[in-house]
Amino acid sequence: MSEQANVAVTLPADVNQVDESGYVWAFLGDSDEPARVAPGAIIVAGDAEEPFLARVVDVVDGPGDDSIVHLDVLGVPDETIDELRHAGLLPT
Amino acid sequence: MSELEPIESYLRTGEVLDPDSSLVVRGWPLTIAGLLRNTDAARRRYSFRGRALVAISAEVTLEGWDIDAILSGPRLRTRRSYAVVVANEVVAAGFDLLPTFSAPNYSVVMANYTEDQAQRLISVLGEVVPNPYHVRRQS
Repeated sequence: MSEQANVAVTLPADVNQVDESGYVWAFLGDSDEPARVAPGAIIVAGDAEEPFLARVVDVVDGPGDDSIVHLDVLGVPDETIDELRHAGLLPT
Repeated sequence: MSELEPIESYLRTGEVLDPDSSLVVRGWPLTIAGLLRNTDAARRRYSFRGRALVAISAEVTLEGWDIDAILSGPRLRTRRSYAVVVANEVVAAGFDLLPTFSAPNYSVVMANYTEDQAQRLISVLGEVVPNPYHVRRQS
């Protein structure tokens, strides 16, 4: 992503990291915008250099006062942009 | 510490890993800061042998999981680049490989949470190369 400096990741996460659910997981407390991280929501996760798109599967209790977010990886943002452009929902 | 989940509860058993032929595959981030950030999450959630688990996640080639299957999978296909090394080299460098959760996931255990350990692991993982299965913009 050449526009890295402008990328605002909703939830920092490691796409390599899964747990017993089989999904990628991350701590909700690491998000600057936790209100955007709700089950069913599609968010930008990962890091600013290589973000990925994911659907929030669930938010469950974690250690301490934090919560664990499970993410279903959908792909990279460019894929969605391409599809939306193809559908005429974004200007080409 | 008592709230950490023992990773021992999630170890696979009966799996044969050939350290001379199995490959450890790790997608980006492959920087000291990136590895430490990812390691920090693991140590805040899991323990190993009664201590916080200092580890990153990786995938390992096993029966039914070759390098192409891993790199083209739903998670790794989002990575522009990756590093790969024979499992034996990871173990020889002092890192434990734990078969955690579902195959082909492994946890690469570091001795401690330090930049030196992260740098050592990066050195072992070797050259970062492009992922031929990375999804790219079509238009």
